[in-house]
Amino acid sequence: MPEFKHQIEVEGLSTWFGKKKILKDITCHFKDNTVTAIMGPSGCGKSTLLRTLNRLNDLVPSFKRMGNVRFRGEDIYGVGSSVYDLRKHIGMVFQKPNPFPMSIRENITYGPKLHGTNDEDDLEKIVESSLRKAALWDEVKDELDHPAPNLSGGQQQRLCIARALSVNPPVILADEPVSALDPISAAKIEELIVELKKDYTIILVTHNVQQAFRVSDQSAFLYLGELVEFDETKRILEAPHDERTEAFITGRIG
Amino acid sequence: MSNKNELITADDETSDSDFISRLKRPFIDFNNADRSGRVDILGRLGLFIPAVASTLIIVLVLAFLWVESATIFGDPSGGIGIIINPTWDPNRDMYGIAVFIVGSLMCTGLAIGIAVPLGIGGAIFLSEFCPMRLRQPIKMIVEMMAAIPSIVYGLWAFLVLVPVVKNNIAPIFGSDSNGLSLLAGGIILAIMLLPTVVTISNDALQTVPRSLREASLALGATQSETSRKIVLSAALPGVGAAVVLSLGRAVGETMAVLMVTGNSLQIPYSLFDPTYVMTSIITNQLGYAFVFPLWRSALFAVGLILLIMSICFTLTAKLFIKWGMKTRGYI
Ligand SMILES: Nc1ncnc2c1ncn2[C@@H]1O[C@H](COP(=O)(O)OP(=O)(O)OP(=O)(O)O)[C@@H](O)[C@H]1O
Ligand SMILES: [Mg+2]
Repeated sequence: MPEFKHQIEVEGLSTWFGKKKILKDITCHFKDNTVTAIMGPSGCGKSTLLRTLNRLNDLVPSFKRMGNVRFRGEDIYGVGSSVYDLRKHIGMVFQKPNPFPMSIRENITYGPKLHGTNDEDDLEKIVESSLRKAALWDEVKDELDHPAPNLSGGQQQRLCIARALSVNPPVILADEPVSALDPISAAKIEELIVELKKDYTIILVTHNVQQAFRVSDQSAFLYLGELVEFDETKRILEAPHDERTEAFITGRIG
Repeated sequence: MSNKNELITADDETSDSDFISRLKRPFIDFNNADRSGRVDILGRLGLFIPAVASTLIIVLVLAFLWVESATIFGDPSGGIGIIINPTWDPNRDMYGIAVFIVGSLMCTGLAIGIAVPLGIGGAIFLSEFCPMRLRQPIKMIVEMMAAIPSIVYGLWAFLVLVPVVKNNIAPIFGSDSNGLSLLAGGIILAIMLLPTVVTISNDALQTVPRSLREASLALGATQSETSRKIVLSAALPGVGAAVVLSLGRAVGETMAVLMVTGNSLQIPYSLFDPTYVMTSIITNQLGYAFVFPLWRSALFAVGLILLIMSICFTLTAKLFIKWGMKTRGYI
């Protein structure tokens, strides 16, 4: 096992979709047991950065990349590194809740079954613990066999978090996970993120400065594909070094 | 007097414009049907009539077949028992139709058994693995396959498929079949069903949102696991619809099957035995049977059973689709 300081380290990362350069020479790292917020105006490349970390952009034929991304010290784009292993260790929660059209239980057991857990008792335990961690257990414990798409939007999103937790990944990527939800559900999920920080490394894309302030420890501010600032959230929000950051925080851009 | 006259004309005028506005009313309502509080008679009738008509047609066809086949079902030499009686011999007034029912079921079963897995496989390939550039051309070719008349399929099968079954396939299994067989019928029927299964399943697969595929991949699933366990499962009701449509076509298909199954009055015991399906017996004998009430009626009874079978298949498949939609939370 190679030595590493942080779960995920990004070094000199540039990406393209076709000829269009999206990310420009990004270098940053994501500390263990912290929430890192990625902020920036729409279209600046937040999602692209996030999806480069679990190689989801590989699906886009025109995607090109230079520079390194290391997960636990190993280059994730290097020869011989398994994308499936990587994704097993880096969970993802999407902007819109996207539960599978199956029962709640099947949503949770899908991941573990893929990776070879077939024992009924083990699966049952995973279902309960994942749902508990996502603060959904009490609401759905009596209807585990009901179709997941019948849940409310907020419940669906917590189910998606539980589904991501089901394979116990050390890192969780979340791309604006509450922006499609009502304020109460959003608050619940924010709380949950803070709670989960104890055990997981969380990278949270957000549009919302207040949200970054409430839940994150460190922040990255992206502007037109450039990493403008990367530091403790408190410092960035209270005393931004760059005027573009300041403009974003005060709501003049974005 | 004059006063009264005036009144009448005035009255006439209002009732006249009333009449016109009453005539115009449905058209105005039709235009405004999207606004709240408007009931649009024209639109309702326009939808109601076809709905009633199509229901009525099914009922009328059933009634017509029932009336025509009543003779055989009422006759002592016939009766409801013809369904399980395998002897068809109009010369001796024996009208058992079990042979045809079994023939049709086996032929349809074989065709569905071949076409559905192949078609779904093809649809998955098209929607999940096929390079973008090839997708449209392949889809177009497949759709064109559906436009080929069944008699042309029949001719091709008679000249190519039957000899292949006779010379290349049957000998492997130690059969001396002449090629006109259940297998040939099943294969040609499967080929004819394939375009329906592929296109409709492919459409169903493509409506599965990309976000579901991404969610699965993000959990560490491979492309193949994702397409089998998530995409296909999510699209299953739509794929079921493809199977329903092809089932309907399979039991009702006539020409191609008639030309290659050998039309022999026996229950097939192997894939290489000839068989006789329900549509074939009607087509072959209706001309001779027309002046013999019992014979003719027996052929209509075959038609009636065929329609009932077809309706049962469709209803069963619909129930299955509904169940699939429920467990997936679509309805
Ligand atoms: N699959 C793709 N193919 C081509 N271009 C893409 C693709 N995905 C994103 N882009 C482009 O990359 C740029 C950055 O997009 P990205 O989704 O990363 O922005 P974002 O910061 O997440 O924005 P938002 O806050 O609106 O989600 C955009 O200009 C977008 O058009
Ligand atoms: Mg985004």
